[in-house]
Amino acid sequence: MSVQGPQQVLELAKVSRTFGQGTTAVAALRDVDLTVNAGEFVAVMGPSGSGKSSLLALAGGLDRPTSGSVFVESTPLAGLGLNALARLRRRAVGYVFQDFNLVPTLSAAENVALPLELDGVPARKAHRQAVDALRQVGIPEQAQRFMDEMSGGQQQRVAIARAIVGSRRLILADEPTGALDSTTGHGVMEVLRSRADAGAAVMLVTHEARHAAWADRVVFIRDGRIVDEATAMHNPAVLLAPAG
Amino acid sequence: MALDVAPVPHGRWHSFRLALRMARRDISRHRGRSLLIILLILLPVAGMTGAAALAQSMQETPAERVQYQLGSTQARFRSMPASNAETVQDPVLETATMTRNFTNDPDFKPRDPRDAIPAGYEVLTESQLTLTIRTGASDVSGSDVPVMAKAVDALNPAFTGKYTLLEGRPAAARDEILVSPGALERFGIRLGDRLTTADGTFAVVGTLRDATYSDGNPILFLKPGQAAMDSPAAQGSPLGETMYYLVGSEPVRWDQIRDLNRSGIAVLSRAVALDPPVASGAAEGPGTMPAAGYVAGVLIAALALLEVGLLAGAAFAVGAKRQVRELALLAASGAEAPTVRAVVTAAGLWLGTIAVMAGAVLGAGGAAAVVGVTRHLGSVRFPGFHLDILPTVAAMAMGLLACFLAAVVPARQVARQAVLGALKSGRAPAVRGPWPARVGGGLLVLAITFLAAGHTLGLSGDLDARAARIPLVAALLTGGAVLAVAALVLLTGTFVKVLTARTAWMPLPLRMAARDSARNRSRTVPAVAAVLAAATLASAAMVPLRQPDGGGKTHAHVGRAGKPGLPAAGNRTGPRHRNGPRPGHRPGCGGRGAAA
Repeated sequence: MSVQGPQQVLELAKVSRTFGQGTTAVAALRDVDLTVNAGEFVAVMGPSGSGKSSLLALAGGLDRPTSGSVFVESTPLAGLGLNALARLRRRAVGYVFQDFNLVPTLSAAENVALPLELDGVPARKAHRQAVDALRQVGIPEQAQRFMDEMSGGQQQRVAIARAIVGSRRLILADEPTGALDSTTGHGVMEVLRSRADAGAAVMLVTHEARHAAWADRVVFIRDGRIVDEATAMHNPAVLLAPAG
Repeated sequence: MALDVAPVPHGRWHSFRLALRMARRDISRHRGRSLLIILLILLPVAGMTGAAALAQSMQETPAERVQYQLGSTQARFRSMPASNAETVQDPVLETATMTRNFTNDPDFKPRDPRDAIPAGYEVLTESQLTLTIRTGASDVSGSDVPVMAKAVDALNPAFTGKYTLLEGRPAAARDEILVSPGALERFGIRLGDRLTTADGTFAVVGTLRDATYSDGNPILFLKPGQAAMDSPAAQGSPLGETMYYLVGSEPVRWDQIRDLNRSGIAVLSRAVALDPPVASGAAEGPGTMPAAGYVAGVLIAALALLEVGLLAGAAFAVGAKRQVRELALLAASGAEAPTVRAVVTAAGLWLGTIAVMAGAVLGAGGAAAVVGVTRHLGSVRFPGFHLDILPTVAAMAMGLLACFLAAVVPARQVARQAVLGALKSGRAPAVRGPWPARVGGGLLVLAITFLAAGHTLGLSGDLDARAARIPLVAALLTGGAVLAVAALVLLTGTFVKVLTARTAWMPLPLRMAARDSARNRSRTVPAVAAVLAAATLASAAMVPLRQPDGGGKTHAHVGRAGKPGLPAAGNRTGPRHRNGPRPGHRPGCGGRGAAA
């Protein structure tokens, strides 16, 4: 009987990212190795400027590494053109941003259905799937509302619904609770946790230990390098203390 | 297993539908900006449509000419100025004649039209003469005033549509006359007053509208045989021509007219004018705008819409910059670059479609209103409302194209941006290589070549050679002008960069403004280029206005060698009288254009 290991959804191998050239060059990431498996919730923590958001951008194909390789569901992103990367984002990667980043000209359901419609799913079918996704995050009744008619927490739930709609299994969340009060933020973390429990790979960038505590694994970054990893049972706050 | 990242069938169409939806909603969310763009496109399209419709409405159609000249009669016979039997008239504009033989034939004896009238018709006459009004002491001039008069049974039912009684009653007694409203005004009289002429005193019993003259012209209408007709003054009038109107059921045919032409008689026939012979020049006669008019119109319209496109482009650029974050989000959600571009260009399509349709309706409606009001006020400047489809559709197409192109440039810039940077900062600085300056330089050289070639070809050779080259010269000059403007637009960025490079000596506000212009060239360039285009447009518009009115005149009475044709009536853009060229002088009458 063969035993299969956990399925890797995201893999970063020796990934470096440098901005600028010559004397003005800034290394945002240096030789980062990281994998996130299906059903796993990984939190990335670190001080400002440590490279957390750069890591997330590389993982989602929004940016390209200076060196190293990124794989999403075993697909190497290096070989993909811009349009193929766009298709990968809408089929495999869900983003949740700190400031929601919903399209104001689209209703909640249309925002959620956006990746599906871009991928050629008929509008009616995409709308049904979008409402299902909104139901999973607890706000199906908000489907026809526009952004300026919703609270911050509701908007973030819409953003999460957009990240999970369809068959996507990688959810990348960049400080999704940063613009929310603690109660609402707690609700958002519950949703992300439930998605991971349902089989999605979730990578959360945060600098709040209480949110990192929801994760299965916490990765600590400082000056572009992964300096430590811990399970959620540790107290991550001590690792955020200034270096030295 | 690796992910499938292949495109889905019809995915582009789904994306475009989404882009249309987003663009439509973006338009309704930003109504001020959208309205500005719509107005930028709408106004020139309305102006061009309206101008084209008005210009076309000044051209008399054969049906209108028949109604206004003949009423319900079958034909009109009149003398034709001819020096031999080879002179041929136009089937619609019978006073326009042409011949291959200009020699004076001493044996040629023109017949009196009265003697050439076929049997079977009732004949009505219309004579024109000059009467002298003896003004009273209150008149400033205090002298005798010559005034045009017509001796005609104007209210005969056969003249329905040609003459209309406006006020009062028909003249019954021998000392009663009708006058035009302009005569009442000119001589300060009212209905019932008496008007003293050198040939007698008449009571004015009504006002009459002559469909061939504006109401403002002072005209007296007498009946045939009324006293003044026999006076020496009337007999000696240079306008003393009598025309004969045939009332009957039998149409006068073109072959009859050709026979009558050989006798020095010109005929306006209802049947022939409404269905002119194919070989005649009637197809180019009344009712069509001269080709040169189209060329000039297209040139001005193209430059106007180029300017509009630049201004609208600046508005789109500002809008696209504000939309950068939204578009970047769309890209982060998996939209490919064409989809991102489509959102901005779809806005151009929506706005352009709305603008050109509203512009065409507004222009055509405005022109119809102008024509209607003008005709209601008694002017004959516009024989009727004629909407010319070709320039209208051309203006709409050019407006839509201008709007679309205005949206394409910022759309490309937005789509080219780094998604991540736009998401973080909401700003996507456009990175431009040196190609606009290089292409602009090349286009400028090409434009100068075109213009020089057009100028040289337009001025060299004899008249016939120049006439044959008119389309080529027009194309070279039009193309050169458009290329020159395009070159200037492409070079504007370089100009702005150079002009704002050394600003350290400037006061702070000017320095900041200059550097802001240089940093945001995507909106600076269209605005500066629009001013350049406006100057070019103004110059282009001034050129035709400065031209002497000679283009059409060279074609009148000129036939092709070895192939007699009929004169084109394309030079009738500004005749003083709807009835075509007339010999002699009309004292006391400004013609139809005078009061309009």
